[in-house]
Amino acid sequence: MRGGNGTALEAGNGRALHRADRLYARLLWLLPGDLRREYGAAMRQTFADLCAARVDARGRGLTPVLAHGLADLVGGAVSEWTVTLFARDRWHRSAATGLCAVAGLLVLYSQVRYPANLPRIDYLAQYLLLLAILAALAHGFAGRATVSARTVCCALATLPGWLAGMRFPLVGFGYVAALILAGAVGAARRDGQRYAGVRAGVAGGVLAGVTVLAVNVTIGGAVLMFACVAAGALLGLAASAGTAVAAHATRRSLHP
Amino acid sequence: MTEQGEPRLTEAAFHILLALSGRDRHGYEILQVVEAQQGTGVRLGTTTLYRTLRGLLRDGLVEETDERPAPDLDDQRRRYYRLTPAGRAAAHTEVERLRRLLAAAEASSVARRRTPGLAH
Repeated sequence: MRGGNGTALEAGNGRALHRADRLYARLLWLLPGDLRREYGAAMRQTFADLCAARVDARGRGLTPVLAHGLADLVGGAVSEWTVTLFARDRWHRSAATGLCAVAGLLVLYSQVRYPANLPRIDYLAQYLLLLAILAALAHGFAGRATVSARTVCCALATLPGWLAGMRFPLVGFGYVAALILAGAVGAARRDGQRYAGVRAGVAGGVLAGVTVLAVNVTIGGAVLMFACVAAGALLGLAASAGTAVAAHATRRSLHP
Repeated sequence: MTEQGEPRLTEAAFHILLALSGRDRHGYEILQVVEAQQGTGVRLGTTTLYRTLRGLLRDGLVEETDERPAPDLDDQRRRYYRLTPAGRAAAHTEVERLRRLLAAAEASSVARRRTPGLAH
């Protein structure tokens, strides 16, 4: 009887530790890539050791360790990102972030104030700028720190979908979806990194949402617009699931 | 800055150097030593530990060592660190600086114990 009770307690203990480990592993993605790649595994191991030392047989005692560890992680991430974004060799990434914010505000302003003028060429240029910047950020988010010519080409590759979507929204949506899925799978297979597919998928979802918004806001009402944004988010989730599988398969093939 | 022109160690860096002064240790051991043995009430977080270690490695005050315990006592994700001669010298400089600071504090009125009934 006591043995059974002890086993149950150990199981509860193990589950609590496992949950804490998974939470910490996920939050490690708050850190910049270079620090995470270099020390992520060691940090995770150290945190797991720390949790195992503090937790009691019933899985209690984790809360203070988690609170301290996560606060330290978030504070460290903010400091690291501040240093990273303002480092001299990362100016392009900071500039892209700033431009993205400016472009987003411009688009928001145009939608609120001049919804009827969206098909104009100057607005088209605005959307292209936004897409290029978002693609650059997505590319950087997926593992590359620089805004390359290839990134801009990727953004411009969405242009046919944008134009087709003005007349046939589903065609445009399908085109962009296929493009994002292909890019996300490619990114996952190229990097062979854990969660690379998920990150690319989420970035793809953001791109899909913004692109579909840009496509449909010209021909539909608010309901259609929000429906398409939701569809874009769902696409991102689907892409993330698919690419996570692809990344897993790649890892298995690299490290059987 | 110290009188030698070297940048001053942060508190976390100083604690890590002290923890490594005895022998090579991995991350969790460093945290244990900082928290338990030094008894200063300092509690380093995992992120702070590795961010600081990265700086110490870059400055050559600490080095990573390949010497590991037996595989059944070890986890491959653990990384072991060792104090370098430069790290030992930096820790010594910091100790001297703190010693001077403490001497100055003890000489000041702040450290003088108040005598009951005399203070007005």
